[in-house]
Amino acid sequence: MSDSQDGTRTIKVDYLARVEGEGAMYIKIRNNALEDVKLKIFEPPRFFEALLRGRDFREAPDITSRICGICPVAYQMSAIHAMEDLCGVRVQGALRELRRLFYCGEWISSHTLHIYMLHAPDFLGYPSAVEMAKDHPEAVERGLALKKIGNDIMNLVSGREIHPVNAKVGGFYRAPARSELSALREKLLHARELALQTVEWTGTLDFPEFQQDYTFVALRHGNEYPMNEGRIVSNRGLDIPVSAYDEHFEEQHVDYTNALHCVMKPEGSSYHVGPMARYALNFDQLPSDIQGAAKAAGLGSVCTNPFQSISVRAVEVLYAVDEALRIIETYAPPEESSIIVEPKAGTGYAATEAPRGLLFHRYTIDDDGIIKDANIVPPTSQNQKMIEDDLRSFVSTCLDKTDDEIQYLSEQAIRNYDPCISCATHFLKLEIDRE
Amino acid sequence: MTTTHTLIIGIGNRYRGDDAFGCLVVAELSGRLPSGVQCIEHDGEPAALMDCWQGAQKVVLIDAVSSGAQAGKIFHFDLAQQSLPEQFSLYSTHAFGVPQAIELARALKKLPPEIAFIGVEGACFDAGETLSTPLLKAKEAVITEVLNSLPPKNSSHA
Repeated sequence: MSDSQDGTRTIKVDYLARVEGEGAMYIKIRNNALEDVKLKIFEPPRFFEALLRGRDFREAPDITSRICGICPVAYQMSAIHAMEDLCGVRVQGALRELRRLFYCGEWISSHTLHIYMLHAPDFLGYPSAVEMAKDHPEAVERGLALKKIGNDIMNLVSGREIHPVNAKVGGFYRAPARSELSALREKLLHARELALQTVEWTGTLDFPEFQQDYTFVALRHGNEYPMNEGRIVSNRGLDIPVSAYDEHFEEQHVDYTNALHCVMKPEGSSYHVGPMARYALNFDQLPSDIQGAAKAAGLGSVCTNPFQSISVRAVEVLYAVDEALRIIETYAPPEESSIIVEPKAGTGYAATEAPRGLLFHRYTIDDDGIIKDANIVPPTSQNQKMIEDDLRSFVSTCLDKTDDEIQYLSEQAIRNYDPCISCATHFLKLEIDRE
Repeated sequence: MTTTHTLIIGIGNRYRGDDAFGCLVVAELSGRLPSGVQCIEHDGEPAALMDCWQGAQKVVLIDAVSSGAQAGKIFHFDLAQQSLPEQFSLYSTHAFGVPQAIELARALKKLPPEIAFIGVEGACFDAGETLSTPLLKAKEAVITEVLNSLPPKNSSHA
């Protein structure tokens, strides 16, 4: 941080904590006006799309799950659905239900990690969950218990919680017995209490007054809160099949970051994916008691204050626990754990709802099932420009604050998105340049 | 959760070169441990890690580290008395890994009464299933050290 004679103040933060990956933030202030904001991602490109070329189409789920240790299920599911789309296969019944249960596990685990370990310390004034745990042990223990039930679901459905191994194109290598799923029921009933307490608890936090007129983009499925399937819709009238994604969205290279910026065509505008977008576009798909819990926590049917995303995540955890209970109680094992999928030359598309938002995959394969081309657009790439827009608006409202305060609030604003920079480059330093 | 007296936890990823160190050590310890002593492999996921050591009187964590020291250097920390040094705290998903699990458990008063950390400086964490030469040597040293710290196999704990 420095103050120059001409009114320039420069604030540099070399490491933004509690996000996944390596990056930096640059904020330029001239004459007490915000001039520039850049989210810089240093984490090197990981070239997963190039690594997929030449591999068998059945390998994509296990290769892409390595992109992220927090949301591997999302990568597996988008890859699997894209391959099935390509080969003209639709998986229904118990296998579809198992996939949804699998996704519930990831939402519970990932969201709970962010709510309690990464984001809540911001609102309660602690540098980390460890410091917070000394004063709020009951909250942290609640978070750990909830996270564990998410892990348990992933373990059961797919072998392990990090980089699971049981999901495949066409279904699963092994489908669990009813008795195995039933063993989770008591834990989930307890988790439901914890999840409801989490929604109530997040509603007691103090949020900065800040609203944004977002373009929300998420999946929408007519009959359920979206996870694996749906059309891509927005609050501005977009309603397209996933296969039309490339016609409406575009990845752009930006010189100061290793992650591609994804924008909406034709204006090149930012848009918002993630829990707030899902919630705004699918509130009617939530059960009435969960809608009531959301309202009691201070949420309307649309939330435009990104700091309240912690409450929206909590609502999604409650929903995922409820949904997992429903699936377990009605589960009847499939006759076969998977259906046979034969390769067919062509291009397939899928988007599923990763915890951080829409995750788009596109693959082209040949008649032998060899991947010729792949494109993966993770949620943090899509939110990157939106995060910059949020910072541009938000920092402008707090220029009278000290540089330390601006830094603290900016980091908090970035964490509203639970950015996964490893996914987007597949890290974060903050630098404020003030004149 | 465990009812065992002593739990040896080998942390790592078998497919990332030297990160497999802890896993390979406990794999070789398996079947050579006295009654009341168990060993498990673990991926280091914090919530699961904190859960698995509940009930154990004594825990030994074995993990590869990347602190900038010479490859193969063996570190010992008594975690009941001290935290892991900061240079060991950099590599974890969402900045929430083994060191955070230890400190969170300490804050929540859920650390085992005795908890030791044996870390070995890795040389290469690239994809692959083989340890580097310095860690192959260190593996034998750590196995011997752990076995020597335990009662003979046919004895039982009080």
